[in-house]
Amino acid sequence: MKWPGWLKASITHPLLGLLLRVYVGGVFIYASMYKINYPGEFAETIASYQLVPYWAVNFMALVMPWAELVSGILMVLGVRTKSAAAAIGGMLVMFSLAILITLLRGIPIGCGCFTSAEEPLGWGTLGRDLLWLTMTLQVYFFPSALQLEGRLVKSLQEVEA
Amino acid sequence: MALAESALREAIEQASRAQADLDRRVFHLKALHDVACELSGLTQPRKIMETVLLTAMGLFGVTCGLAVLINVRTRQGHLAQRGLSGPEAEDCERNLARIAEHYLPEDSLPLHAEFVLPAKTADPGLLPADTAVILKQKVDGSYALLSAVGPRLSGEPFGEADRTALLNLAGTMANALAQNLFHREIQHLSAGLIRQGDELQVAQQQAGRARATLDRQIFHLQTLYEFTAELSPLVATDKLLEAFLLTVMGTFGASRGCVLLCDRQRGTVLSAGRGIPGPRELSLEEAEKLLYRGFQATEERRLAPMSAGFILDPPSVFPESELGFAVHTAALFTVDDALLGVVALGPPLSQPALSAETRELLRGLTVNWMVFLKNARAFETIQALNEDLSRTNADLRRTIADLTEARHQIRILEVAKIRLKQLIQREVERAGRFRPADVILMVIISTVLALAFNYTSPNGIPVLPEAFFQAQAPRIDALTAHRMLSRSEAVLVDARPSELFQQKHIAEAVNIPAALFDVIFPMKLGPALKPEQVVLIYGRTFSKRYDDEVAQRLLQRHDQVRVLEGGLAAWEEKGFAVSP
Repeated sequence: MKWPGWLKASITHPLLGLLLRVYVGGVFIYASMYKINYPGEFAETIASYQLVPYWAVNFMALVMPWAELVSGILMVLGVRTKSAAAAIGGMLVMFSLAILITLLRGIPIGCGCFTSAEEPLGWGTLGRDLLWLTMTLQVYFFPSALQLEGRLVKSLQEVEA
Repeated sequence: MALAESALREAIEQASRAQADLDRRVFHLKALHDVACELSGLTQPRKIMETVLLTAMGLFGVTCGLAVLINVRTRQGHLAQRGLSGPEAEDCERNLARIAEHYLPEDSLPLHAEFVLPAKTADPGLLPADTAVILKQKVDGSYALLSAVGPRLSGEPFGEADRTALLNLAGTMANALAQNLFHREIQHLSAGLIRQGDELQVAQQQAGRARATLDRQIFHLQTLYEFTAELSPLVATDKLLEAFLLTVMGTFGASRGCVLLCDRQRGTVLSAGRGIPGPRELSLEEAEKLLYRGFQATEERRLAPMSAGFILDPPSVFPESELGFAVHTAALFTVDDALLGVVALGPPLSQPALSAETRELLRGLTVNWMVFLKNARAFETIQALNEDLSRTNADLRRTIADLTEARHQIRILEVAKIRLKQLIQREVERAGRFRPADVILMVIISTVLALAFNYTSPNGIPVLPEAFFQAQAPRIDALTAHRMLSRSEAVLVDARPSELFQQKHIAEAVNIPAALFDVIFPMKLGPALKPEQVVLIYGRTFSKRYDDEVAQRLLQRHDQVRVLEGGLAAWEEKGFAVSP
């Protein structure tokens, strides 16, 4: 299937990349804040999914919010954008699988994506995560504007020259 | 009687013939004696040969004769003849070499006179055709004599006595010639000796003069050598001046003297004096004027570098009032254009005037001294240059140290630049590329930050669940638990979250979630719980052991606490009632 030129140009436009990069990165930064401050609650959320061994729940509850924060910051700033997008994409895939499994198992729990007091997990939650995953794929595969690392590299190249 | 008379006559005839023969012999001997006496007074070989020829012609009555004295090596000699015609004489004179070659070969010359026989047949026409007798004889080591006579006027042949007389006459002539040649050789040698004696005398005179000259030159050279040896260790200009003046005054026997050295380049005047009240210190201008007057009065008027010249009439050029003594001899010297001076000596004690050779010695001493003076100046210059060089070297060493330091810094900067460049290149390569290492790095950073933050946060949690480290609460199987519940000996607690409790739970169970234990336990169970009652707890998932957590908390308030082995699944497996 051949994509129309305007569509391809729109999808691959650097400004769109910038917008999605800032949005997805900002979502992850925001999502990490509460979980970083209340790791106990997030550990309960992780445990409620019944997918992680009980001895790894606390460790995951500690590390994952920081991973979201670091990758989100890098993505917003445009530093190691592809690696950050890959990390965020990986986490979104993991989240989506967990939600899908939980929905299929019919366990009545909240999402726990941002805070512990959220609406129960649903298919909308899965769709939202998949939408974010799509945005992340755009950021991964196409260049975006205002990448700090790109500007820094350009400046270094000018200094080297 | 007749026989006797004939015998007598025969005897008388024999006696007469013997008498005649004796008379002839006596005549021959007398003639020989006369000619020998006559030859003793002759000094010319030709005269000797002519005399003998005349004697032979008169003695034997021959018409002609010749004698040839030849050097057998050079084939040159003298011819004497009598009675030959003009052409015959000329032929003989012309053929001397051939005559010598034919008749007088060097290897067959007799010491005594011999006849060359037969004269006619052997003669190749070199001698006159009517030659009757030819004789040859060795005179000495170099000369040989050939004698020949023509026929007798009487036509008689030469008898034995005549031939003997001829041999004697030829021998006498040969002896006379040998003596004459020997005498001439002696005379020649004597003349040579006299000449050599004269030459020897002249040579002795020349040798005497040469020896005297050599002695003087040796003295001069000795003086120069000692002077050189004395100057060798001196490197200071003033010391050289003193040494030069003392040597010159000592060599020429002068009681007074002074040396003036003008250095135009440095603008200084150095002087040394002996035997005078005190050398006056001259300024550079005064010294220049004095030297100018001296140059005007020198023999050469102009001096090349490293040369010296004598001043004509020194007293008029340097009056006594100026130098403090009567100048007898003065010489100017020029080391180079910038260094020149004058040496002045008073009258010598021994001789009134210096000879030319002595003046040359003074010139040689001066020139030799100038060499040392020049070396001393060069040494001083070298010392100054060395000092400058040392200072320059010190500056150079500092500069090199600075440069080395700068080079070291430059090297460090270059290394830093290379590393920075590599870093930039690496970063450029990394930019815009996915690297698993970046993800790993992010995980590590996140882990470190998480652990650090959790350690300091008041809401921190243990990395591993507390139940992982605590002793397990006592277990009870489902059958026993059911029996105890049926006897009201126990109460049942579901430790899971309320969502899970509401989804499915044991019918008699009370829900006390672990997270809300402190709130809900007093409300639902605390006051009604009797001390003898056993609290049975169940509820765990793959991710959370709610039962152990609640059991640990409950054990702090109640002694009889049991955890249901197998939980809800074991209960259902036994067929006991669950709700809903």
